Amino acid sequence: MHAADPVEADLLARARGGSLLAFEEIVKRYERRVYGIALRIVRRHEVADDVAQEAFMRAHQALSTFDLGRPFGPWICRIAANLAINHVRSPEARETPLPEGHAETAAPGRGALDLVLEREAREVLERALGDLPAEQRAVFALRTFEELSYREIADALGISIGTVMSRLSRARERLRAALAPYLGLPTRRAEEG
Amino acid sequence: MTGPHVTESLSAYMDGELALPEREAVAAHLRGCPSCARHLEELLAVDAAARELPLSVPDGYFEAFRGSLRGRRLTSRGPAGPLC
Repeated sequence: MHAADPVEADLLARARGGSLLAFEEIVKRYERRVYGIALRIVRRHEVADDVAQEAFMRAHQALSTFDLGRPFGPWICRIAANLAINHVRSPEARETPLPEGHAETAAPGRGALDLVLEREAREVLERALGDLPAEQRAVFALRTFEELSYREIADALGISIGTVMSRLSRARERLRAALAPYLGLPTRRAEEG
Repeated sequence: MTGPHVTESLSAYMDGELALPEREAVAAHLRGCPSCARHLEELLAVDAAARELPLSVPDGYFEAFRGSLRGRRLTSRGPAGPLC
């Protein structure tokens, strides 16, 4: 585990002493990351917003128990991931895919076919991510987007390293299967041409 | 090809999470097995593609986030108590 950033530790100490401004600086540092984790697990903006806010609320309430010698990032990410997983597991959760039509910029020099295939592949990948079981999606998100180690993921989610390994492997294989028609296309076209 | 395919180990291999003996065994297999080597490339491509997916965030969301948090409860519940 990395040592805490001294500036961050100071902000957290002031926040623990009651400074809302200091805590808002902490929020500012982590809001995108926390929201990103939440969104990648729950797949809906409104729910991700609620999860992100609740994660910071809980962290704020629990500051007195937080070890200032440790980095805040993994802790808040763990809170957000667990809240997101709990939501997805809840009976009232209604998972719907993200709205389509993300803005994209054409890369210079790319052929029209490449761009169409790329957009199609992204949509397929989005759907495949949404179709993963929540537990697999959470492990995949924490590894691929947050680059946590297996030990950190295991600690964050309260599971064994072996479970992290198997969930991640299964998630990646499902995504690979979904994306199979698009993988290596340029190479195949070159070989065919 | 050297030994049976190692596809089940590739996910942990690409993350550097295998113990040294297994990592070396997988690396040796990959040198002689184009099928597993391609499988690994595809898993790496999947991760790279996922990292490139944009986050769909409404305009101005992060600018308003702290205000929403403040308005929600932050001012009424100070730092105290264990994390539940």
